[in-house]
Amino acid sequence: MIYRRTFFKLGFSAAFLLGGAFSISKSLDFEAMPGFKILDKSDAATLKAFIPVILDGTELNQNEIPEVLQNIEAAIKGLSPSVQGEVGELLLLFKWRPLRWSTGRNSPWSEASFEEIDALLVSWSHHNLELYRSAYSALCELVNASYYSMERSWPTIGYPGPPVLDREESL
Amino acid sequence: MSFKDPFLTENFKIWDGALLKKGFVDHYDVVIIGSGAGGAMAAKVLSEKGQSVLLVEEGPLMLTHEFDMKESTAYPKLYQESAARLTKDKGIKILQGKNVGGGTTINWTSSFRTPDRTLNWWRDAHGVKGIDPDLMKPYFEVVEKKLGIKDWEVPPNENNEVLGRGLSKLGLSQGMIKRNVKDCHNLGYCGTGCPVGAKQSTLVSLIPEALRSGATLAPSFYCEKIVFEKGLAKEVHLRPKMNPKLIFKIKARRFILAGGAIGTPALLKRSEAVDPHSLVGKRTTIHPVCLSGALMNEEVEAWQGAPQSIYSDHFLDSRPLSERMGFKLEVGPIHPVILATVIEKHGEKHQAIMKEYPKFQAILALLRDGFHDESIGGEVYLKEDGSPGLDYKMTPYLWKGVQDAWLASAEIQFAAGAKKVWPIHREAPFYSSWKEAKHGILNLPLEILKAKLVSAHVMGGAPMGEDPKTSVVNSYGRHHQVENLYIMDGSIFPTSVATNPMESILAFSLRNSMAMKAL
Repeated sequence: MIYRRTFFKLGFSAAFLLGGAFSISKSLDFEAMPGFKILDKSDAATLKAFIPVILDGTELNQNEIPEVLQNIEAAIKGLSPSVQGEVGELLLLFKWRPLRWSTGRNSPWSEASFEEIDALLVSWSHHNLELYRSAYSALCELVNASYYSMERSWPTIGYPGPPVLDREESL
Repeated sequence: MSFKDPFLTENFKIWDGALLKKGFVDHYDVVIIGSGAGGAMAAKVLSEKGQSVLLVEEGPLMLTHEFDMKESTAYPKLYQESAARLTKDKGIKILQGKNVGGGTTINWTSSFRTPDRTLNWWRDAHGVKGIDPDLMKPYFEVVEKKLGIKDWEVPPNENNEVLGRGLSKLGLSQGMIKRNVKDCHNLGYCGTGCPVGAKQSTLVSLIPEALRSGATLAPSFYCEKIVFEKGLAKEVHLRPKMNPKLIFKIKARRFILAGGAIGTPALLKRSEAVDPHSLVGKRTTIHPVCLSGALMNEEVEAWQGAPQSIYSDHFLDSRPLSERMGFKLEVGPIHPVILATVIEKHGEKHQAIMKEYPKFQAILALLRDGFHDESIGGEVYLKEDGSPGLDYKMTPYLWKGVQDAWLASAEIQFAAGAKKVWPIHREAPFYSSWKEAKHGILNLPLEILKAKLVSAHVMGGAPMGEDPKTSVVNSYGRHHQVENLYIMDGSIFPTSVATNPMESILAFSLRNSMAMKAL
């Protein structure tokens, strides 16, 4: 659980800077998911709602979402602890009630409609505050990179994949 | 394939921090931190002089046959922060190597000598001695011979061809890029580690030579700090990746730092190295890169073929160093994850561009930072846990360079027959004509996290020179205050190089390690 702790410890200070009351106890409830060390049930629920919006227009199947989630987890693991903290901070944003209220929501983002999530992403993309624009980059990058690193996505964009090499000789 | 990996056939001394199987000794003549262009060259030169060398690397030892050309393998294993390192304000993405071979394992093989103009500037404006172009020439020649750097005879891929065609139509100067390759298969996968051992990265060239001369390689060790005693560097503290709670204390008579221009200044700061004029980590330059995408009528397939073969210095040569921001034009290889993350959009809008992947072309403009009062570079700082960060602010002067570069790129792309051109910016549309692009580009907001900015070259932060008030090391890379401490990487450059820096780092490291007096 080291990952998870680092993940949050570094996240808090900056999250507080956003101002307003933060639902710490709620955020620290770590509901483990089998096969995941960093993302918990609530992160996964949020991401599951955002993935189909970010990947709208691709040939993503519902049953591929768990694989995208695994790739996201793997990508976060590859980061240094301090950058993991920043990603943790990003996911905390979604649990942050004032953000929900400011967008007129009173239920979790995991229950939001496609249109609501799309509208949130559009507003972050062009937001006056760099914080939201960087959150938009990070979120889209995590999801898009996780999808386009999957070989199944390659034929859909006309990428043949790396050439096949005969390595026998070289070994 | 004629490549035989010496790591598989020869008996090298490797003390791997990911395995911790083989032993080590706790005292060397020289400990070198970092195995990229600078560190590997120093390891080769000094081990051939008969000195005992420990070459330490933070990243893993990954061998040629393990390079599978997949982005999902390469980015987490071979790059700092999984190829997602960002500046402090998240405005610029920084690509840096983290593996045995450092940046040379994953770069695109573009090899340029340090421009005469830059050398003269370092001499005149920064007081560096002994670097006149005619004095440096022999070092470049040795490096070029050693690493097979020569003209690339194979026709450029279409991605480069578009740049060349546009430049020709507009009558702008262009040149062919020399590459450090032997028996290159023209695959286009330099960025994920050359799978056929053709690229003469230090992994297949200088490091095996150093190991053959008795050096020890220590991959997967994080160098936490240097310990000083009585004004000299005494030992380094290394933490193995296998068990970061362990500390190995290694003594040496001399220490060479070559962890790159973020890693090296950060290590000096973590070690609280003496820095009387507060220079360490300042004036960090990065060649900020902006991009211009184009949709061509024909297939470009920018993922295949030598990534970079054509360049233009027109916008460097035609602008005096200290006046308007100059930029070098090149193209870059486009693999699926690169394109997917460069496009900062979501849903249908993202997908609409991805669908055009085979016809997508892109020009990169490398801004020549560090030569002007309004381009003083960024600053390396330590985060709470001691890991490094880079604070780099875009100034109006730099932004003007970005705008000029988008304009130049768009004009070139339309001249080369582009159907549409897109300056890579969140709020920019695809323009259908040069006239439309020209007007549109001048109205794009010049702000980070709207314009896509990246960097693959980090330089400065421990500049060379003769005056300790303005430089950290002398003209031969020796620390002004700590006389058994040397720096041999891009950190020593007083400004950006104004071209791809690998060959400069190799040549300076060769010169400076040769100049080190016998122990």
